[in-house]
Amino acid sequence: MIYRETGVHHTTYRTDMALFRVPLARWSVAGLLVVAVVIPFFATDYWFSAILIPFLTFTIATLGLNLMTGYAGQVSLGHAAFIAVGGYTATILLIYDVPFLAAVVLGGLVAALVGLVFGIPSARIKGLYLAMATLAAQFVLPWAISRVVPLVVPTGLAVAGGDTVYPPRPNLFGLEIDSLFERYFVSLAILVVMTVFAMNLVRTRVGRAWVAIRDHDVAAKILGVNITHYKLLAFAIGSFYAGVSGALMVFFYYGVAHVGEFNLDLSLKLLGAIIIGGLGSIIGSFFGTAFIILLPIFLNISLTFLGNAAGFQVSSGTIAGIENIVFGALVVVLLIVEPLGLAKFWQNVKDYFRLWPFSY
Amino acid sequence: MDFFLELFVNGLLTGVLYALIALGLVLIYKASSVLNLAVGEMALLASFVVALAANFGAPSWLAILAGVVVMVVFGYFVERLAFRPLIGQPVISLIMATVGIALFLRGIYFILSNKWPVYLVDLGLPVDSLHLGPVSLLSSSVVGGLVALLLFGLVGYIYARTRTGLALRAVSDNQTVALSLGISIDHLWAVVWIGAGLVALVSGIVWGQRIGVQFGIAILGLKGLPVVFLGGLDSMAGALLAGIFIGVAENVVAGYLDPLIGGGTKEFLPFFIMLIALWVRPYGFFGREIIERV
Amino acid sequence: MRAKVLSLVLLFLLVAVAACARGQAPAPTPTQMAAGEPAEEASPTPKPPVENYVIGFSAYRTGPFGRTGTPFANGAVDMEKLVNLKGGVGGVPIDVMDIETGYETPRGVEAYERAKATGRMLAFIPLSTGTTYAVTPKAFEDKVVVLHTAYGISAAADGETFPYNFLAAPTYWSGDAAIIKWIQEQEGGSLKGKKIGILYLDIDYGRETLPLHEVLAPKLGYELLKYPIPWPGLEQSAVWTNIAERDKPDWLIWRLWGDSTPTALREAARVGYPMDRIVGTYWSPVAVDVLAFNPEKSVGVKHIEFVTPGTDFPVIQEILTELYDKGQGAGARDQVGMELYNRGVYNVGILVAGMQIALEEFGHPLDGEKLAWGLERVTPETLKKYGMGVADLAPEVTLSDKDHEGRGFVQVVEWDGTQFKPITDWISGFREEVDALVKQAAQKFKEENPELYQE
Repeated sequence: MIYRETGVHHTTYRTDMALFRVPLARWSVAGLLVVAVVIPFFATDYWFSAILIPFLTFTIATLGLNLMTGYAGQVSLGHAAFIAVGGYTATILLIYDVPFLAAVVLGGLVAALVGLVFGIPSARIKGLYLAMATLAAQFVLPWAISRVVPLVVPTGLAVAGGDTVYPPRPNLFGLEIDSLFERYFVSLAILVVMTVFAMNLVRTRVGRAWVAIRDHDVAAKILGVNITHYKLLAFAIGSFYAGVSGALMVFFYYGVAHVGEFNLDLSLKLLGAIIIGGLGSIIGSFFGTAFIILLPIFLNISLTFLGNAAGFQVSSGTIAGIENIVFGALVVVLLIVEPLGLAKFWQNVKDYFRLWPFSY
Repeated sequence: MDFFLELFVNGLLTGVLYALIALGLVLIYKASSVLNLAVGEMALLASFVVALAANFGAPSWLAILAGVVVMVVFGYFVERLAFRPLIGQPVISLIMATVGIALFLRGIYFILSNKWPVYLVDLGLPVDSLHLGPVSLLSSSVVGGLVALLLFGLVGYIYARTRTGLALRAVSDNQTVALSLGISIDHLWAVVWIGAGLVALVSGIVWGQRIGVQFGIAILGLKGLPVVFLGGLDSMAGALLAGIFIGVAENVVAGYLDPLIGGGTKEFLPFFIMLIALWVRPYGFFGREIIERV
Repeated sequence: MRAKVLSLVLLFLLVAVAACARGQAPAPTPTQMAAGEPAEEASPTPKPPVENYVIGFSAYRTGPFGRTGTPFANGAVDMEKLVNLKGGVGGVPIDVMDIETGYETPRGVEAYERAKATGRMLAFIPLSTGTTYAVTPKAFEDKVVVLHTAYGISAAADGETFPYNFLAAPTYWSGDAAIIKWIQEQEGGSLKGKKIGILYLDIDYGRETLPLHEVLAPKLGYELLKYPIPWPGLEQSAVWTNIAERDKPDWLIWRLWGDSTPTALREAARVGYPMDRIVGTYWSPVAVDVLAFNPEKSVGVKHIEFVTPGTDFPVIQEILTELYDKGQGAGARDQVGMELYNRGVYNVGILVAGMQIALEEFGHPLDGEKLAWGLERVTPETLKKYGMGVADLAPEVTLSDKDHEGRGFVQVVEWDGTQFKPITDWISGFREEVDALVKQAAQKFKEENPELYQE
């Protein structure tokens, strides 16, 4: 019940190295997983398509961005472009009858490759300038995609011979992944796997090297860390996550591969998600994604409710305007109040309960 | 040759207007190392206010004055409420804060434009087609270009010849030393944000008159980014030259290349140029190089 | 510190719970409350069997197309109010759930789901080609009408392949075909040797009619010139220089939308391209675009219409007197009567007509299937009877179970300095070629989506 490390003795290397060292942590994660598995039985269609599935698919992307930007310090303003690359690749592979999982993984790998290419400038430039290189990716890649896709996709599957492609129904080991229910579970499974991978990755040498680079790359280099190698790795892995997320987004959420969805707005939203959630924190990625997905919906619903309660019909344009205002203001407020993000809030809560009922 | 000339001259005019957007970015960056991603939205807000005032019957000078008042107030409050508390935070947080402000402004524009739709910034400027030899231009574009150049001159003058300009240059050179010399950073940041607001006003009016008061102005803010990175984030002359370069390159290349590759050159060319610039000369034509050798 | 943390946690929980509760059932709208009284006066029957009939509507008053989406949305919302003031459909009010989506497809899909969650959604208006494609498969399963007047899936004209998609307005193909027909007439009957340029926004919507032109151009002997404009199309001087200096097409057909149109108008003025040789499709240039450029300089520019613009119609006059004069209008008064506004009115009106026709046959409660049945019986006569006045706006629409388009009649309207006025009667062109294309596309859709047709 109380999050305390006292009384928990690790007598084997195994328990010492475990991801969750305290029984409470283990139980709460198990509980979360149970909830995650049970929710779909109670959720409505609307919940699935508007909240749960986007949450799962976007979180993968956010995780990748957090690894790249939060841990390794390589600011990326072009994450959405890598997502697009992964999504389109997977879609095209699926059209050519590549099995679903392979298509997703390959989509991730191709995105990783592209991310690597755009990470090459990181050897020479850093900080803001590197961010701009990724911004360039955000504009150049969609253009390239829209030129290449019509050449690669068999005619008829792309709308009007353009760059909007409808993927066929994916199927996993012979079962068609059709209903929202099935989509949810497949996404959940992939998310869990990738989260565990990320959690472990940041504890290894790679993770430590990234943090060293982020904090002070010159010092890291002096200490012998091969910063170019690790920077490129950060781009590659971050983009891999983006690619996988893109494949899932196209198959399970959007239902269509359309370059226009993966625009700068999305990149900025993802960046906002990790900053609000907490840079350099896995759980922060979850918080941040929940924030950017839930907040607009919550605002929309509550504003309509308030408007109706007050007796006038609030126009949808006004609601959208207020959404933007609140979102923008919240971003600034959160940055001022808690620059370390929601993860820090969570950490404060945990710390409080560590000492409870004592106050210090 | 005629074809090329027409593309060139029109690109030149457009480029000057891009440089105007870039000027807003440079001003803020020079003083505070913040990349203000809200330039587009600021210009949009400014043009909206001016157009709205004109719609309600105010004469041109009053409408512009209304715009000035709004932008000054905005600049002051944004600096006070959003940026002063964020001093010392990492750059990415500051950039994110500007994104937050951009969204905020967007929301305000949506709500206001829903109730009071405005279409055009109509300051009574002629919209005739001018023909200088083989080249056809729109007279309002020419006027816009001239106004932009004037503004550049004005800002350059302020920086070079006035005390405030001197203080601004000191702050962009080394903040700590400037502080120790008694220069009030707070005061200067407010000045800079107000200045950026006024530059946004001019951008908004010029572009609003060119393409109408519409959401596209906010998106134009992004066009300013390749310009500043090509020209140097802290150089105004660089912004002007880079703006012209990109405007011309974009137009000329698109003119020749679009028919061949099915269009779209304008989408990515400025950013492609930026990419190359970042690789070859990250600090731009005239930016100050930060040399770190290990 | 402790208190702050605790209170924040509690707040989060409350927020989450509130979101859950709200997400399940939207609150009743004032239109229902307003419609409550007239319905009781009009018919002394007991409480209606259904609370209301929901029409999902993915509106956009914001975002890159907000300027052009706003009058449409306002038209729809105003018509909804008028319909409810008159007692709704058989005493049951309608609820046009306008949900702001900024033209983004996923938000459009979310809007669809949210409207569906009410359990009373009969129809959905996507107002975006991308969203139309995304919700069409869902509509098959949910048996809900998707109304996409003059946009969306052109192949949906084939009512047999698309039982739930309705255009009730000409497709893009019909539109461009009619434009070519009209231009042919202007050129004295023959287009041989003429150059016709297509200026289009390089997105699905813009490219949709290229296949048609590729069929018509060799047949009629005109040279087809393509001018793609990358989105958002705010900078077009290179393209227009090409048009003016190199190619000099005799006519320009426009397929732009949103902010790219004023830019195009400006460029046309700059290079001196004659405005009266520009014929746009339904969505460009529209009145708000011309006003954003310069009303005087744009005299002569044309576009095709499926709904006549203007305020001279009883239904529009009613909206002005019943709503705007009483301060209940949804938007700015000077937008009432604009073509986009009237289209919004038409959208709701034709759905209401379909509902009333179905009501006569089936009675309450209605559902999507019945509405589709009703819509398939819309003819100029039935629309006049049940359309609450929108028949004046679009008098030539005939739907059937095979034809969900309505035979593709358009009007050419021209800007005269203050508004768009019709300069032709209702015309259509090249029905053969268009029908062939529709058949082809419908066939393809059926092949690629076999799972929608199982049963």
